Amino acid sequence: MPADAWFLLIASVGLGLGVELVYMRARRREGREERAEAKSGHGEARP
Amino acid sequence: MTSPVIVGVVIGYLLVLLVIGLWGNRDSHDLEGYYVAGKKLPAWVIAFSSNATGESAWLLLGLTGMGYAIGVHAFWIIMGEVLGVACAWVFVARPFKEYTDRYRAITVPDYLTERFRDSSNVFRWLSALIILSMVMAYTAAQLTASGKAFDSFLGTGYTAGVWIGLAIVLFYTTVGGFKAVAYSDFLQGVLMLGCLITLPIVGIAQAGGWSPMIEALRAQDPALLDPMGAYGLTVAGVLSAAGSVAIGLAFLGSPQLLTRFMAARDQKQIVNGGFWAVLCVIGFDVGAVFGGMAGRTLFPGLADPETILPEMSAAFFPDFFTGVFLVVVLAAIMSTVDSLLILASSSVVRDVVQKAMGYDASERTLSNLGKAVTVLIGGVGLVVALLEVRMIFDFVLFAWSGIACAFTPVVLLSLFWKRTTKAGAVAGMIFGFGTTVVWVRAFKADFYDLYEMIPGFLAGLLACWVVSLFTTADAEAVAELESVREAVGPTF
Repeated sequence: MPADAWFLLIASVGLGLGVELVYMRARRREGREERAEAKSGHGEARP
Repeated sequence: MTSPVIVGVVIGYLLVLLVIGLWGNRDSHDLEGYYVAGKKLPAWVIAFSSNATGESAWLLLGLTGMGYAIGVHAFWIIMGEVLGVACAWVFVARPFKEYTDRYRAITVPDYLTERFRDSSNVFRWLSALIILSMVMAYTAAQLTASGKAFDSFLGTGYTAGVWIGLAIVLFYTTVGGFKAVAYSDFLQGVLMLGCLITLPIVGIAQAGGWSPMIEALRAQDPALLDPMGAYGLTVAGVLSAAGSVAIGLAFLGSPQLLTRFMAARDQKQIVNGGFWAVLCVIGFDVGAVFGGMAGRTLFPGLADPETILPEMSAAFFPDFFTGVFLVVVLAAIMSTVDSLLILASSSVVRDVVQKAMGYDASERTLSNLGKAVTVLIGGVGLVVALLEVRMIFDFVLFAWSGIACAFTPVVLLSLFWKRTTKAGAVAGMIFGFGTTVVWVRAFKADFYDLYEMIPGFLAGLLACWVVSLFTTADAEAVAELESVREAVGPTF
């Protein structure tokens, strides 16, 4: 398959998947921070 | 004569749907249970269910046909759909869920009415009008597909195929409500994914492997391997690619998909479900396009590219799997029809009868009324499908964009722009929907066949924005948007 077709395919899949992965990473970081705050007694963990 | 193995597989599948309908029955005796499964659905169900609903038979027959007809130019559709699904789960789902939980909303018009403090019920009437007109068309097209699928695989005849398809959907939808719809959609989504992973693998192997398939496509038509397709890098090519990407806009605000977010158990289900939804739509779309491309090398010159999936399943798979492929086509049809029927029924019973007309009755009576309306709307779709055998996929894409252009711009602005006003939202719905219809009737043929989603969406967005600028937003609604934003937190 020509290189431009490969590029389009990778962009087609990668853009959406990338947005979702960055989002998941942010949520995990948020969860870790909340747990750490709750453990140190400076905040409450969200339900 | 149809193989008894194929008949057995189909009957087995239909029995499973009936069981799911009966299982969902105990939770369908009030309106919240019947229309949003009591807001108790887990991540994996809403993820597969929303994709199965969004895709319909268009995915299995239409998108494989596009892979067959236009080759890698169909990758633009993959881009639009994957981005659309990802952005819906990342940006729209959580604030929408937060709002609708606060309002105890069970329909999108419920949300709009509360969000804009509307006491005139204009959103309910307008939504009912748009949803009913589009759902009738959409349902009729899917029932047409059902008639053709039963007839071509089992030789039932077209009319019997339409009746069988509708009878099964109506049974589990009315008996089991949204819970049965969502869980059956999950099962149907898994079946569709399995089929669309298997199809290209077998197809490429039958074509002699990857490189021989690509060479065969190049020999047939070099444009099949050009991202801009037969148009090349021209205005027509760019607009065709843009129209393909725009298909994904509907995932951001169509009521039949937003209902899944409302029905989620909590915010955590949405965070977890997004990843599965994106993986699922990648599997769906990449599989369908590559399946179609492989089919082009194996069955060149088909009069109707949309028959490539049945052709391949009959040629390369044993009877059992041919039965499974029929089941998958039926699954795609049914997973869309059931959701549309529930959507239209909720629009009539919840929005018009209960809220706009103020009909005061017990939850059980309203739920039973909802079931009766579901049957009635299915009956109208049946009559339309029997009166005129139309095909299918241009009409499906039109109905898909009609609903999307009425709701998506308004939903997006209402979630993210605090100055959005009631007058702006009404104007956005009218102009979004109206432009879609007018574009198809009057302009499309003269503008490189540009897909109506683009002008419809832009018109809805522009109308909502401009009218909002000239009117005043409700102060309480503005404060509420800030509070929702704070509750949901930053996206990244």
